[in-house]
Amino acid sequence: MLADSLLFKLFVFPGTVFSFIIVLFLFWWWRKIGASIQSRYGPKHVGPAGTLQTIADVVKLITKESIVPERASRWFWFMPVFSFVLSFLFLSLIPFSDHWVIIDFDASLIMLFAVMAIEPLFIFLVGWVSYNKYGVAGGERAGIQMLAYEVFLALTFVPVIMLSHSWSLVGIVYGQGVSPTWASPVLHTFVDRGVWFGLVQPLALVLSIIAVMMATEKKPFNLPHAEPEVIYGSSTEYGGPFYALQMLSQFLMGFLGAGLITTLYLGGWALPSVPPALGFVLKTLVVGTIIIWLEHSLPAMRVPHLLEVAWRKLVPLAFLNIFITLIIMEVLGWA
Amino acid sequence: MAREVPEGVNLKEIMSVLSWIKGSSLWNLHFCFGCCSTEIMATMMPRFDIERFGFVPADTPRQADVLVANGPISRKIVPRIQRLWAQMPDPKYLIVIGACPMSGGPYQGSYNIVTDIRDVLHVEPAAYIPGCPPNPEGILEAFIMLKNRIKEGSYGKF
Amino acid sequence: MGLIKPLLYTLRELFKRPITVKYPYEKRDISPRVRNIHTLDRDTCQHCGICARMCPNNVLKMVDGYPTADYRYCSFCGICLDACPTGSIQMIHTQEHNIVRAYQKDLYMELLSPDGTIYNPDAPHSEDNETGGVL
Repeated sequence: MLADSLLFKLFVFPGTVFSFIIVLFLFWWWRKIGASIQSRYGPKHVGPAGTLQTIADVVKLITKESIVPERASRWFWFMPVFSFVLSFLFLSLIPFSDHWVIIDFDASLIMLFAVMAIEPLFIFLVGWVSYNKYGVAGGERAGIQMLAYEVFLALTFVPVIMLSHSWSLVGIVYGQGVSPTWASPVLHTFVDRGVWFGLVQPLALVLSIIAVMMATEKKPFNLPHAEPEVIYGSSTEYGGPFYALQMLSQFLMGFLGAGLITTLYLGGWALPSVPPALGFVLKTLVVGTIIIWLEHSLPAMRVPHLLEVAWRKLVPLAFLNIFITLIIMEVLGWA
Repeated sequence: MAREVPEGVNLKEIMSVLSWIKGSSLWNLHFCFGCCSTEIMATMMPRFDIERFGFVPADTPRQADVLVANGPISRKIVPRIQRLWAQMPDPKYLIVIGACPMSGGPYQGSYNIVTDIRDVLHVEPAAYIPGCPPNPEGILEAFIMLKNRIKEGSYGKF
Repeated sequence: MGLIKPLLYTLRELFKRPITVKYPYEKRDISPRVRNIHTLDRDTCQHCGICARMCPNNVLKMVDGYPTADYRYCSFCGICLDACPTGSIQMIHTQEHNIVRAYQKDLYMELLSPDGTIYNPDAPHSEDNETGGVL
């Protein structure tokens, strides 16, 4: 079967073709939602409702001249490709359904966490190789931001692992079909497979949305690319095809961050009367829309402010969440 | 080295599609050195919303397509403009807004004002909008004129 | 609470109708005091040249007894209107007359007649490479 082969998965459905389409759609959707919030139309006249706008943008960026700064490292060419490959690695770990997942093994959550931890390093290197002071400053900010979100992101994973008894993302989604006895009669009526962890872990859901927004550099936490402070952060020297690749991988990371939240807290692909993969994509787009809405509503933060919020408020909250979960599991005998 | 175009490939149609794409996605460098830049900001704001046509402000000169000359060019800003223009990757376009960059306007004859942007950038602008400052409709019309000129192929190189 | 308020505000804005005026397809109402391109009534013009002398930017020049405008310099300040003793120079206040030109030489033109037509289509253009501005 062609559709079952790894090549099909790599290059067509969760892989290249699909991710390219979803990224183009998300770029358009991001601009439309942002424009509606600002009470304007956004892309409108290029294609019906501006749908061809993102295709035009990407093709234009690819056909532009590619400038490599004179004193840049010879790795300048490869860094956007590496970050794109990294976002593909992220993509291959996210289960679109129990069938449409490229890599799944016992500890895929740990591997996903490792991929998320490497990503800021690549953002830093992108700035470093371009021999630009704003690039280096933006890269350092990416590292600082990683220090802020990485700890409490890992801590919000812990209750999910405790509840589902699994380190694999597919196993976590299956674990959301196993519900505690007290919740089953109520929740089974409107949730297809069982209780979503977002309903029993609302605090962890909020914390992980914040962490994903930090990881994908959405607005309140866009320190590495903050235009008023560091021109465009690590991507300052990147234009043309390099920037097209970076933009695509950024939006892909945004989509996959929303997909991670869907997988961990919102029941993965489970949606009544919808094919599994489509259900996953729909849920992820809803989460993505919420993230876009938050992004266009909140003002940006300073670096010390960010660290203070992360370490003084969010990390203790994550610990508290683990503690509460332990107590509830002990009292209700979840196991 | 001349290359043969393969059979069945209509180069002219490909070029027209490409020029349509280039004209539909013009990212302007948000570089304000004069008072007309407030009108550019007004054009980007919800009332006129230049993003409807796909014209958005770029974050760095490396990603920009259009430099909007929008104020008196003092001798001190000339190296900056030249540097930013050199940093923009190649198909790049120039639009002149207001009286100052095209003639000096109220500052004509001043000892420290360059009266014509062509003297410092050595390119021919795509559109001139007189006014002090022009209203946002005028700026939008200039962008649309640039877009149409790119589509026709009468401005810019490939 | 301070975090919730902006979220609700943006959510409300999200479902409102945009305030954008889709400019080339629809036009906004403009103030009657908007000054756009000049018009000249040649029947009442006295050839006095006061408009050209009063113009702060040297926009208007007298050619063959009538003022011609070099819109490269023009600030649309309207001093020529006040200076004209007969009121034959006026300024249109419609949106349609945004003069956007592709070449600098096209900005040097004779003043239009009050009904918007061109008096002399063969009017001479200034040299394209004339930088101007040097007094």
